[in-house]
Amino acid sequence: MKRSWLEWLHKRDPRATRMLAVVAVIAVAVAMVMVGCGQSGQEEVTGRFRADLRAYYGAPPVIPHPVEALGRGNCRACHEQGLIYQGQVAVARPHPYVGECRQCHVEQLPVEPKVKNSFVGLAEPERLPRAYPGAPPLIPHETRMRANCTACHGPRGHPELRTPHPRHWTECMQCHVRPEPGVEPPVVNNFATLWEATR
Amino acid sequence: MAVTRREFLGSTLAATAAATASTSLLVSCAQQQEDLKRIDLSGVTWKKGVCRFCGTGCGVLVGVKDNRVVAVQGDPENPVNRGLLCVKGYHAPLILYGADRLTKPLIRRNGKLEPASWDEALDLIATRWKEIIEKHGPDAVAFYGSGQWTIEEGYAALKLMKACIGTNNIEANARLCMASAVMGFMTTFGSDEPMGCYDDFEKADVFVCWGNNSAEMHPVLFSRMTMARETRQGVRLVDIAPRRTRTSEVADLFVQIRPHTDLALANGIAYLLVHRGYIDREFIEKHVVFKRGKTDIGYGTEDGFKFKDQPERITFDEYVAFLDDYKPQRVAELCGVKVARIEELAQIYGDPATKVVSLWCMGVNQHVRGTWMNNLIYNLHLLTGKICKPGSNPLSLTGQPSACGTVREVGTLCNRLPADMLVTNPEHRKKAAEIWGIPEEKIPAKVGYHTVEMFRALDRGEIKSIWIQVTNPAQTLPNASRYIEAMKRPDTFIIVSDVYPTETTEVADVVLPSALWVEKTGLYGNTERRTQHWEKMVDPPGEAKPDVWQIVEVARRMGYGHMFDFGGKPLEEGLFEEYRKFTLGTGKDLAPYEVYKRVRGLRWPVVNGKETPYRYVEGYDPYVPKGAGISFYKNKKDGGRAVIWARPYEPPAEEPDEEYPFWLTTGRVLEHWHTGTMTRRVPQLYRAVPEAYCELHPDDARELQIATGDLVRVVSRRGSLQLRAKVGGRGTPQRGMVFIPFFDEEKLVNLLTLDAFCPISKEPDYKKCAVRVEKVG
Ligand code: SF4
Repeated sequence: MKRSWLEWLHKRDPRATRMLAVVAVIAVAVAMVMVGCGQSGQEEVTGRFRADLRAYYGAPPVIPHPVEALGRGNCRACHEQGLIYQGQVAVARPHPYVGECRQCHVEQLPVEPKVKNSFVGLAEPERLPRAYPGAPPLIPHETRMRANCTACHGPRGHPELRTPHPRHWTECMQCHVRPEPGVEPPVVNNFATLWEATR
Repeated sequence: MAVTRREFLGSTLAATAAATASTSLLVSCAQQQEDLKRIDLSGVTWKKGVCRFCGTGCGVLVGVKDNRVVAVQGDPENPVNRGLLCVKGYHAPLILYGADRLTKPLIRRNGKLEPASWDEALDLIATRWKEIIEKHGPDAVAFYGSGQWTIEEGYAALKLMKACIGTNNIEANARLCMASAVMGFMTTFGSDEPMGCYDDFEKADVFVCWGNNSAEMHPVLFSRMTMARETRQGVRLVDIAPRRTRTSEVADLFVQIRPHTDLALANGIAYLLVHRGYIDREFIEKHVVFKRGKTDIGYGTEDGFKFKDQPERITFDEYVAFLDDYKPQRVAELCGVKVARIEELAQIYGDPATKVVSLWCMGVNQHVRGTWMNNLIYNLHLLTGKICKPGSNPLSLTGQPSACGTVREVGTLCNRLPADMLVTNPEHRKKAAEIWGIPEEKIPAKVGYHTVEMFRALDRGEIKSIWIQVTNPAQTLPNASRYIEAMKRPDTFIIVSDVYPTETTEVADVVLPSALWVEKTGLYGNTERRTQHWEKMVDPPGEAKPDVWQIVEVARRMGYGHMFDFGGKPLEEGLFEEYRKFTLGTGKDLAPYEVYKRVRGLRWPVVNGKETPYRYVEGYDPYVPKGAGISFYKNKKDGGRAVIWARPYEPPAEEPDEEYPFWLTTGRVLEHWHTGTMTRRVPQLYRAVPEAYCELHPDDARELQIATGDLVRVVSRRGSLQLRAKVGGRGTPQRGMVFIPFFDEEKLVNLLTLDAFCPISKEPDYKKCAVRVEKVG
């Protein structure tokens, strides 16, 4: 394509061309996921797999698929709203827009480094015990860079993380809270023991 | 659809594409699994630190458990990055754990590096240096350090060379990346380092990047720009560069200029500013003088090249007459851009309502007219008065984490002393001698060898020994083969302190294993004058020791122990407190050591516990007299005014011709730090960009019948290199230009580059030389 209406459009409103690029790339990306899934079978992506994409808990996940050929805008095509196709989940971006996705998330080529690395990374946190059965679960992980709960816990999140009550998803933090790590309450609370006793 | 898929796979390098074709779109779990060992959260402690990599200087919280680093977080309390990092920063913990860490001193015996004890190694260095100095004088030894040195390390090395041994032969790799920025500051403002700071990212209307791919090189600062654009109306990003990069893709305006023509473009913009009435006359009358220097100043490609500028005052009218050579039509032709683009840029700089921040780094600095190019960018801000105003400032970005803090502020360069002082100035030598408690004559007035000349002198036999710390010159010096050969020769004695084997340890006579990052205590100083401290958090592996300890141990063995005796204070603190004395009262004042332990860094000058976000501005900078508004008080010789320089366009040292028809430009990629010594040992970063490649423009590739993955040979007058071609990757050079990153020690692009440098700053031009490209097979 020579400089033509695209450039004209860009001059009038750069955001319009950006939108256009996003739309164009959505089409390409959907097509690719379709082709890709055709080859890779219909396995559900598990939580374990997700953790494996990080060097340690808190590290940005690497990108488990090729991206470079797509150019700019491709990430947002699938990861802006989130996308599920034949069991493969492209989660929505859980954190605010920072300009360049690939400044933290990088593609991995199937090659092995010449030198081994003996780093031992922090594990993902375990689930936290509920106050009583049926009580809202506590948030076991950091919420920084994860402010958009629905990215993972909404209907287009990973299967085992999806909320069972998607209708009340607007204010997650009104029921689910993040206990400050390492902080113990100054006064012992006997509720849990009492609850056990009544059963 | 099928085509899309094929193109998709075609994008990865051919060598690896074959492997991908049969696997799923998703990286196989099994392959990843091998890197994953995990430790649970209990008992992890978090301490504040600074990222090990770029000059942005992001704050990190380092998670430590059982004497090992297990994680980092972006430090939400650090104003630089507010919790965000880039992929290198996030993977910094892994750099400590490559399997081939150097853990024992090595001494070359019968041509082979063999393990030795610290005592043996240190005694050998001290004895050899004493012998050499006795026989050939103090100028026969040299130190070559780094912008990744901590402040204390740089200061200890400076003191050893200039105060103890009595030679100015100390340089650092920042000569290769920031020297032009330094000389730009010194010639325009009389003091190094920026007036503005990162606060401008939230205040500016337009960001103009000059030859700076900040999306990859300063990612967190780039995010601050793009976030500004997302959150505020009318914010724009302009990219001026010869190669289309990730920065250009995101920019609102991309001005693709021919290599080296930035000089003409800047003067062309200045021409329009003057002739369209865009200049701020009142500002100019109060704060500016005009000067010109020598022209046709050469390129330093010959040994022993000498240059001294002859600045002379000119009038405003003379400056305007000088600009007549840069009428829009001529500039447009030279740069290969439309006149309308130059006008657009002039309007951005000229419109009084638009706040402009200019940003630049290696494109401008690694330039045979790098000092001039720095001057020319300042001209645009000085002509329009868009300087020393929150939201409107030129911001010279720095590449390394402490190029500013250590090399530039401590002054670990052949012509400098701490806090902007020069060895050639008797007053400055006197002050230094007083602080060091030595006779004035001990500090030589003669400038030492600058980096390129230092290694040339090694080759010529004038320098017998170089001690190299925290850098890898065998991979990074331009036209490297000459200097590699010199280091290999048996009559040169090369000492290398490093953390992993490198191209340079390969040619060393003694290798000292160093502590890395949070294995030691240190301070770094970033682009915005922010000095940041971290404490040692884990032990170094094996017998590895901090560089500062190594320097002091050799000093002690040479009889200079008393110079490093700080009365029982920890070495780092003692060194810093002594160095701080140089800064007090100079406008570069640092805070007491204790303070840095607590805070998320402070921007100097720090006076009465208060940092200075904006230099030279009343109300911010305590050195500006009341009522002055703005004062360039460090530029005493021009009466506290800044200088607008008439600096012409002059051609580069080497240009493409029939035999070598392509420009070669070199640079970094986001994932790798410099020579890849650390980042190539991180699996995630290694896999992201496993090897260097040769990026071509699609039309050139088609003409040469080269496709992504094809093996090509790139040949210059100095060497040749085989590597894979890449078309349509993350960057696209303009037609007639190729790009090769320099991180890959198996593909040494600096065998091709030319050792021409800016005569004023002595910084080599890694961005321009001529090559030819051939398809192999
Ligand atoms: S932007 Fe620079 S300082 Fe910040 S995390 Fe990345 S490499 Fe480190």
